[in-house]
Amino acid sequence: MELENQIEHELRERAQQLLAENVVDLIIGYGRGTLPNRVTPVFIRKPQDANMLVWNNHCQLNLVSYLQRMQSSSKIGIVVKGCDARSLVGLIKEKQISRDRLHIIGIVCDGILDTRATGEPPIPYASCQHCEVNVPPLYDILIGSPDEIKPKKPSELDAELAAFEALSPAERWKALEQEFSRCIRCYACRNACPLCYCEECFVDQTQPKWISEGTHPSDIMIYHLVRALHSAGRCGECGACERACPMGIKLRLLTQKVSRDVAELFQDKPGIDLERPPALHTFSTDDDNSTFL
Amino acid sequence: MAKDSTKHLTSKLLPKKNLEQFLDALLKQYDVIAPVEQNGFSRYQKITRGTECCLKYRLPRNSIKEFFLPQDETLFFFEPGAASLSDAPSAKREPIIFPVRPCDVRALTILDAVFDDEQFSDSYYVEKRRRMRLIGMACLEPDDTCFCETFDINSTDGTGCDLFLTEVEDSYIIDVLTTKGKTLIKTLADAPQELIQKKKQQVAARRKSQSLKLAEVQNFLKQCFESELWEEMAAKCLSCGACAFLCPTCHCFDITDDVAGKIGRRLRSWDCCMFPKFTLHASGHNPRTKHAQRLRQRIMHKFSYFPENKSLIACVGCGRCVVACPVNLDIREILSTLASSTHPASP
Amino acid sequence: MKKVKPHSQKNQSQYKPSLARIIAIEVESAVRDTRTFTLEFLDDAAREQFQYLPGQFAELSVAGAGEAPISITSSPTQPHPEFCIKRMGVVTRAIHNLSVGDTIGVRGPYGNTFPLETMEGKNIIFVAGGIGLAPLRSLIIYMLDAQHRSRYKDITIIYGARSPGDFLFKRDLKQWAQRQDVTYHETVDKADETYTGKEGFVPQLLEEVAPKSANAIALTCGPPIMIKFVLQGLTKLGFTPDQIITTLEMRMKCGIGKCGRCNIGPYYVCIDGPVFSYRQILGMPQEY
Repeated sequence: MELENQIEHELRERAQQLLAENVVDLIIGYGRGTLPNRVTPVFIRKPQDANMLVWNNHCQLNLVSYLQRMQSSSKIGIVVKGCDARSLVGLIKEKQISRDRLHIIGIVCDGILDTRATGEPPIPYASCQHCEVNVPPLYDILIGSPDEIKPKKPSELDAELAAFEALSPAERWKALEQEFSRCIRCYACRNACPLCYCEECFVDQTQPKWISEGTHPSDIMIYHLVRALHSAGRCGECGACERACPMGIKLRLLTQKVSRDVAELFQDKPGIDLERPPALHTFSTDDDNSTFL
Repeated sequence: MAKDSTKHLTSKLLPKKNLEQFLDALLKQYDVIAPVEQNGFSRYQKITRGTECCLKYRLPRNSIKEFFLPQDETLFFFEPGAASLSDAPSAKREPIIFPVRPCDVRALTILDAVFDDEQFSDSYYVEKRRRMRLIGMACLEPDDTCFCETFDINSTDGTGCDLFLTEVEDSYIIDVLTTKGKTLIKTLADAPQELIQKKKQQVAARRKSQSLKLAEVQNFLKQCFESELWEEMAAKCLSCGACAFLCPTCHCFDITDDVAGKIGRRLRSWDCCMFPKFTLHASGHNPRTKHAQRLRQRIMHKFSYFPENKSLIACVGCGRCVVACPVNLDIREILSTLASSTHPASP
Repeated sequence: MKKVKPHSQKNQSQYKPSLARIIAIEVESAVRDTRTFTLEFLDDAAREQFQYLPGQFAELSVAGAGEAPISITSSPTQPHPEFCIKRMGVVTRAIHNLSVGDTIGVRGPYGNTFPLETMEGKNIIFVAGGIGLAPLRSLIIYMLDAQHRSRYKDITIIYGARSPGDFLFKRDLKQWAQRQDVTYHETVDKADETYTGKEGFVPQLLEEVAPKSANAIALTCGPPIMIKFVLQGLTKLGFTPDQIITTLEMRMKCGIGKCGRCNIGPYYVCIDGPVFSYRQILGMPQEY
C-alpha cells in the first residue's frame, strides 16, 4: 500500500473510533473534491461517515480557519499538517480556541503539489519545497512516519523569494505593486487565513475609514502590507492565503519575507512552541531595535 | 444591444500564424483587450502588442464584465465643499475584446437586462457597451468545468459578436456578423469553400459541455428556501468574493466617496452578497449574518429571483467560480444537491 | 403598490445628484439627534424634475462622505422637500454637520408610493413609532391638505415615542390633535414629570383605540419590534394583510434596482418598495 493510502486508511479508522467513543463530536478533515487534484473540507459527525475522509498530496487547505465557527461542538477533531498546526498553536496562544476543546490529528506531510503548475512531474508548492515542519508541533495523535520524509535542504531559500530579497527596496516595492495589480479585493487570502480572525477587519471599517473601496494601487497595497505586518511573528507560513488567491498573486513574497525578518530579528519561529509568547507580543530591552526609525 | 441585420456577409480567412499581425493592425486604431499569460492561467487585460495575447487557456480567469462595469469606476469628480460636479473623462480609443467565448456573450445579455432596462438605463454601462467591439471565438472542446450547455448556449454560435472565429486546422474562419465587425477585417482574404465546409462539419461534431438537469430550477429552489442543506453546504464557505468577482454576471456594487486631497470622486466599486457587510444597516442591524443566508441569496438570486424578474437565468456555466473557489464549493454540486432534495425519486 | 413612472433620463447620469441648498434645519429631537432639513434646488430644472408622492425616498449626499437613502417626510403639497434625518452613520453624521445655506446632493425621487388610489373613500389609521412617523407624515399632510381631504374618510393617528423628548414634528402633532377631522392619540414608553399624557407601548394604545377594520386601511411604520406587535394587534382587530401597509428599510445604494443590496426575494426594495402591503411581506423571505 502506498504511503498516502496508508495514512488515509489509518485516518479513517482513527476518526471512526474517535467519533464512536465520543472523544469528539465533530471531525474537520479533507474530503473528495469535485475536480481532479482538488479536495474539499468535510465536517464529520457520525462514525459511519469517517470513510469520507481523504488524505493525498492535494490537501492544500488549512482547516484551522474553520475552528472558530464551530461554536456548537464541544470537542473537535481536526486534521492538520505541520504548517496548519503552527497556526493552531498560534490560535491557542492568542486564546482564540481552547486546547481542551481540540483533539488534534496530526499528519506527517511531505509537501502539497502545486495544482497551478502545468509541468510534469508535478512539483510541490514553493512554500512546501523548503518546509522543515513536516511533523506537526502539536498533536494528540500522529499519523504517518517522519522517517519516510526526504530531508530538505533548509539553508536553500525558495528561488523566487531569494530573488525578491536581493532587490533594492525600490525594486521590491515595484515587484509588489506588479503582483498586487492583479488583486480583485475578494479577500479570499484573508478569509482563508486562520490567524485573520479580527471581528471587523480594518478594511471594512467606516468610522474611521482607512482605505477606499476602489482598486487604487495605494489602497490595495495598504491592505496587503497591513495584513502582512499584522501577521508578523504570528504567521505559520502555511501558504493558505497564496493558494486561496484566484488571481495567483505570490503573497508569500510578502508573508515569508516578513517571517524571515522575524526569525532574524527575534530568533523566533512562530507556532512551534506553545509556551513562548509571539515575538511581537512581548518586549525585551535586548530586542533588536534597528527597525525603528 | 449591438443588433445588426447584417447576416454573414462573407467568411474570411485568418491563418493562425498571422494572428499577431492581425492584432497589431487592430492596435493601431483600437484599444485591444486580450488574454495575457499569468502563472498557470490567463487574464484579460489591455495589450500593447499582438504577441502578448495568449490562447493557451479556454477562458481567462477574469470575465469581460470589468470592461463594462469596472471594479473601480468614477461616476463624477467633485471638490469637497464646492457646489459643482464634473464628469470623468471617457477613453479616446474604441475598445475591442479578443476573443470572447459564447458564454461570456450570454453574460452580457444578462447584464444588459439589468443596466439597460426600460425603467432606468445606466448611462455608464450603456456607453461602454455601445463602444465595444466583440470578436468571438467558438468552443469546439469544452473544459471539464464548463456547463454552458445547461443554459442552451451554443458554444459555436457567434450571436452578439461583431466577428466570430472558428478554428479550422491551422487557420481561423471569421464570420462577419455586423458592419462594425466588417471594418476590422478589410485586408483579409475570403475563406476557401473547402475550409468553410470543414468548419461546418466541425461545428456539427463539437463536443458539448456538461448539461446539468435543472428542469424548473426556479420552482425547486423556491421549495428549498428553508432547507437545512444551506447550512450544510455553506459550512465550508469562506465568505470571500472570489466567486462573485470572477462571475461574468454578478453585478452588485457599492457607491462611496473617495477623497484624495482637494479632489474627490463618487466611486462605483464591485460588492458582493457573500460579504457580511453587504447588507449591514447604519443602525447595526443586518438581515443576513450567516454564511448560509448569504450563499442562499447568491444562488436564489441567480436561479430564482433574477429569472422571475427578467426571464433569464443569471448563470452562463462558464465554470470560473468552480475553478477559483478556494475550498471547492462547487455551484454545480449545490444545484444538483438541491434538485435531488426536492425530487428524491429522480435518478 | 403603485409604481411611479420614471422620468425620462435616458442619456443622463443616473448617479449624478442635483444640488440643493439647505434653507431650514429644525431640531426635532435633541435626545435622538434627529433633525429635519428643508431643501431648495439650485436650479429650476432639478426642482421641476423632483416630482414626488408620499412614500418615496431620495438619495442624499454630502461630497466626501457619500450617499444615504432617506425617506421624504414632506408632502408634495408643501413648497419644499423636507427630510427628517437621525444621526446614525457616516453620511447622516455629515448631513448633521451642515448648516443653513450649505449645499447637499439629491437624487430621486425613487421608489413606489403609498397606494393613494386604493385608500380613497376609506378610513385611514396611522400607527407610528419614533422616527417611523417620518415617511407617514408625508402622507398625513398630503391627505389633510384641503385639495385631498375629502377623498379620505376618518383619519386616526396613533403615535408613540420612547420618551416625551422623542416626539418628532411637535408642531404637526399639535395641529393634528386640534383638528376636528383627525383623531389623534399619543403615548410614551416612559413618561417624565413634565408629561401628562398616556404611558405605554404603541401596540397597547392600538388595542385601546381599537379602530374598526371595516372599510379601513392601516399604515404602520416604526422599529421592527413595534411593527411585529402592531401587525399582530391589527390582525386581531380584523385587518386582513391587504389592509395593512408598511415600509421596509434596506441598505439601498443605487436606488434604481441595479446594485443588488436591497434585494429580498424577487423584490428590490428601492423600486418595488419601500411601501409594501403586509400580504406582500408575508410572501417574501424574512431577510429585512
